[in-house]
Amino acid sequence: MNEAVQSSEGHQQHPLTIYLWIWVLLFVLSAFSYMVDYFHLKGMLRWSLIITFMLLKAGFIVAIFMHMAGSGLRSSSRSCCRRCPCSC
Amino acid sequence: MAHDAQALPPLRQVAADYAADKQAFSVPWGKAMMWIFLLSDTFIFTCFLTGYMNVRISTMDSWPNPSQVFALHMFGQDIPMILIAIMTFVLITSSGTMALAVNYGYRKDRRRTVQFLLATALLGATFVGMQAFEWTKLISEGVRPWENPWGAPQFGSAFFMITGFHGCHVTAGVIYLLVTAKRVASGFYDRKGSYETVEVAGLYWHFVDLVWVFIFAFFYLW
Repeated sequence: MNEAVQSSEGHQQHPLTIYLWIWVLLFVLSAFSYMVDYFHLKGMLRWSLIITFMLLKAGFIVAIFMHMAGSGLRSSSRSCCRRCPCSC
Repeated sequence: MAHDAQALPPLRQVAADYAADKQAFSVPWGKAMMWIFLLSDTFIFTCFLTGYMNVRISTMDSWPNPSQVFALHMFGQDIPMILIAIMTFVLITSSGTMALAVNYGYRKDRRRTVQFLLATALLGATFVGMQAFEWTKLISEGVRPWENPWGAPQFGSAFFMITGFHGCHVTAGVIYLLVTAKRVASGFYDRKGSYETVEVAGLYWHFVDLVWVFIFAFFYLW
């Protein structure tokens, strides 16, 4: 599916391809994290890279998989977004 | 009531809303409760990880090198951290299949939803299996919560506590997913008219993956 679809309840869905892309992205980011250890990077470089990759992965999981991004919580209720003060 | 909105000052309106017999959040209660549970779970794992970092900084002994501790002897050489890397990939993949299960749930595609839920549960069980293997290996090498052959004795307690607690979450998640899959298969959510519960299970599963991202970074790689 390349386009967003309407389900029978009228909720707009993420297209499936975005999950596959995020999955690939998480895979690559994990590989990068692993490389930090594999190449024995040390000190500030090691710690900053670990934290960068960690935050990127965490961000993508929360934003896309847990539906916090875009019109967040869209799959359950759009009215929630009009109510809550968050930026979704 | 509509006229209340004009009559009451904002703070009183909030109190009136919450005290009234009506829904405070326009999401299903199961989803709101899951978010609250996940928030409290965040606090627990934060406590574990800060506690671990605290002992790691304050201990007088040198911290065992995770890169060597978690190395596996494969193909005639020691590969650092290979099991942990595979576990990470398995858990990320399970998060991907879970996202697909939720997506097919909203399309009311019962068969696909069950398939992806079962795939997620299988990957989760694989993860727990590999963790059991890791525990067995470390225990046989003499790692205990109070001692280990390589350095700071706190290593064992932090390791068993953090990975054990996370492993319990994965195990509980596998059971949760199997129960959800059984209900989807039985047509329960079709009769109910909503697959919302699959998404709530998905929230829990993605959270377990999220916690692993932090454990991987702070415990294994640091």
